[in-house]
Amino acid sequence: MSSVSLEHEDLADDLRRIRLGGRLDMVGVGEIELRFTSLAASKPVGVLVDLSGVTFLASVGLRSIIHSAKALDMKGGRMALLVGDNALVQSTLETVGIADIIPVFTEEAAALDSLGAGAH
Amino acid sequence: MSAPPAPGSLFLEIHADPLEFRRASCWLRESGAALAVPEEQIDRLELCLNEVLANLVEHGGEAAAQHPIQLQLEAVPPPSGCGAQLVVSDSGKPFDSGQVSLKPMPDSLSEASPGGLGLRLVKAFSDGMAYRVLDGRNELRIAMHWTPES
Repeated sequence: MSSVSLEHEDLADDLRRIRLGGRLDMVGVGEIELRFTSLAASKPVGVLVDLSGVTFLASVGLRSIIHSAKALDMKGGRMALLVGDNALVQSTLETVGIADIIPVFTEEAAALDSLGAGAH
Repeated sequence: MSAPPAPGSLFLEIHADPLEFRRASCWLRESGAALAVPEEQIDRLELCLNEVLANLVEHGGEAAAQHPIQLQLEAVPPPSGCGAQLVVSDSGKPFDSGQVSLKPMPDSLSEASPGGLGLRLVKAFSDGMAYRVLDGRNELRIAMHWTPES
């Protein structure tokens, strides 16, 4: 069974992309939570969190995303979520109402536009 | 879950440890495939199972940690119907998730609360839940139903 992965790339001074993959269950989140929150909420930038490679998203993963989004918001940054064609992850986000408070996109270009990064 | 195993059902016993939950997920996927449960229903059952087990670790108390958790998956084959039932039996503190009211959905990020997400997922992704205490153990039944075409 796959574990979890985390990669990040600074697309511009004010724009960061974080790719999460694998299983965001208790074990997986425990492996990446501190690093994820540090990358997502350390400075007031736009943060695109790519969840399209997530194979399993449990509530512990949702809590981590909410926690980081709130911390980023308090610093003046913004978060958007990218799900691609990952229907299960999208359904999970919609079920708990996260899709209503953090923008969720299926296309990366639209997600970047929402963060004011249309030129990237 | 003191009754003998029913035909067409599969069992697993695990401990209340997050690493064991991954073993339970593997078992559920393999058992679901063996019982011809569709992939979509297995995905939903796996999420429900994970949330119930996570809740046990966080709120089940010492008794939940000291005694094994028993899992059973059974399926109703066509033409009787298309359904599956996951039974989770544990020795933790009694908790009837069906009696718990869900918090309102948040209107903004600042209102978002990390609590209650797991229960909301279980209620939304299952087609029915039933709870009882049997022989001093909690028994939660999570049901899924589908049409043959789904």
